[in-house]
Amino acid sequence: MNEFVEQFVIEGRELVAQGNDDLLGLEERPGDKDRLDGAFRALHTLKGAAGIVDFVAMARALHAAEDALSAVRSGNAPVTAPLIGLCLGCLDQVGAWIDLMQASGDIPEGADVAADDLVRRFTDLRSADAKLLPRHADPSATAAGSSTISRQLLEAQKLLLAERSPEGAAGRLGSAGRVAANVLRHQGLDTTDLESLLQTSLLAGDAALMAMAIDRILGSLAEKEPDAPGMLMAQPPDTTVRVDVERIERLVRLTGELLVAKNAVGHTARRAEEDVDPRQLAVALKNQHLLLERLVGQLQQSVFSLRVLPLHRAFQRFPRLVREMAGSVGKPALLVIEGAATEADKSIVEAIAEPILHVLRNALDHGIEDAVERRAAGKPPTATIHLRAARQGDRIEVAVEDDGRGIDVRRLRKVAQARGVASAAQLARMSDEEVVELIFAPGFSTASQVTGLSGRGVGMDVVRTAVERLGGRVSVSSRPGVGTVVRFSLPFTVMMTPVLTVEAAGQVFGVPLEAVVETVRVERTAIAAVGAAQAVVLRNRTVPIFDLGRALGAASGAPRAVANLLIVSVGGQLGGLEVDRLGDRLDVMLKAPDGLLAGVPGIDGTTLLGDGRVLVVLDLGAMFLNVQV
Amino acid sequence: MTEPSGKRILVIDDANLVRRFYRDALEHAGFQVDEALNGVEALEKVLGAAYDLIVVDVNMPQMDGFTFLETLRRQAPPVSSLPALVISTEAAAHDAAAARAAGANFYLVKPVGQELLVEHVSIMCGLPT
Repeated sequence: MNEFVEQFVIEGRELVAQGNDDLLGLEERPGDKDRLDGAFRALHTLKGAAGIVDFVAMARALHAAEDALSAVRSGNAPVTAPLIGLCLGCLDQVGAWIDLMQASGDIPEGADVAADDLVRRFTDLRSADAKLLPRHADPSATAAGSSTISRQLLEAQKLLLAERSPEGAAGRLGSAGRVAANVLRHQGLDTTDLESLLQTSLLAGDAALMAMAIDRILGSLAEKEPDAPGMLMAQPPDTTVRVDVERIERLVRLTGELLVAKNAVGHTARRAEEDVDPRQLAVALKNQHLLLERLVGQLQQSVFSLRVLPLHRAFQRFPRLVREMAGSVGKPALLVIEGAATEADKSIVEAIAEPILHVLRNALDHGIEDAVERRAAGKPPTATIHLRAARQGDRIEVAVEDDGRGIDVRRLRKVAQARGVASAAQLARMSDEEVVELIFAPGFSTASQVTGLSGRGVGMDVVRTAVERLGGRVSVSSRPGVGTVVRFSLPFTVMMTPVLTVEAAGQVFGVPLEAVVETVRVERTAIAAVGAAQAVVLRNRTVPIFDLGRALGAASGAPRAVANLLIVSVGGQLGGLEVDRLGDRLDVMLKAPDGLLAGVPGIDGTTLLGDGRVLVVLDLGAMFLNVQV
Repeated sequence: MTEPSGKRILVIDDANLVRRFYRDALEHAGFQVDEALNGVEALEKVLGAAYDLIVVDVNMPQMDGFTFLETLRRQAPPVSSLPALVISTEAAAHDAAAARAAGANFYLVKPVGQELLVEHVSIMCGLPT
């Protein structure tokens, strides 16, 4: 048997089973989006597989079924018994074909008749539906459709904002802002800060900022979406990646440039055959090599960027899960997520959810005290868990920080000895910090009582194993009575960082867009000196100002009457970065500073711009370190 | 008929039947609807009255949908920032990028059912769920 056919028989059976299962589930609960997606995926994957083994008739039948479900997904058709029945019938036929293939090792003959029949029945069904549909659709399907449409609308506005033509740019920005604000209103989201962010970007005429605001709206939409409660494991891994059209266009552009560069090398080769000065040739070759190096580098980046996802994909279910878990242990807790837009390779994003969830569970179970104990300790009764993600050079740092009781080191020492994790002599030599790290040792669990959450014999060693398998590290630190922080340091193999370019003292710099809260213009007179520093009061908050131009030693002309400030959030604090001009939004692959720049404070990394210039991306944390007000 | 939404929509299409179909759906959902037969007529209308959304076809005599949108986006605000929903024929499905370049906020391919149209228009006008 052809190896493809062999593989097809195995996979096909699984997919038929999965499709059956999801279709039955969908019939029971017509509004169940996960079931609908699952069934659709099964049909879609089967169709693709049929295409690979050249089973055209099967692909045709499956295509018709997929179309029918696709109409349900877009809210254009209801889930009906005949529809489910026909889809199941289609899968039965596929199953029968697979049996024949296994027996004969080849595509069964005469499949066309059955396929035609199925296609015809799907067509009939659709025209029957079309007559039924206009006035009464399943309300749950409409609700799902509304949030899907909202999301599509927001994505479309982002694309519109990415249009480069200067003609009509203001109109595009304005209309995108109106649509985004209307989607917010329609969804009834808590809108004040998002609306003001939209407003700010409108006033500043800043498409990049508006795109960011829209990203946040998309984020809160996803949080609002009712997710199936329960564990994350139930989610099958995505086999597809949604790719920004712009990223594909960049690939196409780069390929074109590569072709040109390739031709140039051919030309040089022909000249080498003639009698040409070798030094001249060397110069030409060197230049072409440089060009190729740059293009291939960019191509590599672009290809990697196709696999990049925001951590949001992993984080989006956490708020709800934490709420449920907090409820089940009776300890009120709030999860605060920062940096969900940080991007990482798809494989990292998908694999990190489970370990983080485990740590969150641990925090609720062991770290956080109940409300009575917290009150006695002078803490607010509702605990806060911060989940922070940020890019640090070439790694992604994720921290889970709770404000609980911290780890009891004395008790830990006792348990470690009792469980044989470390000997008394070893423990005596270990510092408290080292002892705390023992929680990652295999089989270590300090829960004196098994609870429903984390005490099921799965310890933090599982977390460590999972993280190390990704090429990451995990560490823990704790302060008695104050809380515990678990830090993950992960590679991203590939990562695109969105930056906003700014100009100061005639130079261009990048600022991680992640940190940018808004852009404001303030009168010079509103800026006050506070000690040696400067600050401005913004919505009742005092914001320290860092003048980038002055720090770079720009000729100290008269300061402009209106200051352009980039309000950034650094480590939870707001800061104002004064710049001469705001530039574009770019997605760049950040490299750790090396060579002359290595070790220079204030530099987060560098990236090569399209024209070969180096863009220095600022490390805002280091800049505002000395500018506290 | 649903109670008035207070939102005013301009439907631009040269086909009487299509305009009628959209008007019927939108009015039924409580929108106030005006009509224009082509881009030129539409431009006069948007400069003369405040709309919440434009629903526009692509292929029309005199001034097509894309030219109309490009012209619209070059007007002074607030006219320039009128949200626009383009509805085009299936044959022109690859035109989504062209519509965007012209300044369209969203793009639907015909046939668009009444329900789908109303849903898009309601969200784009910010009506509550």
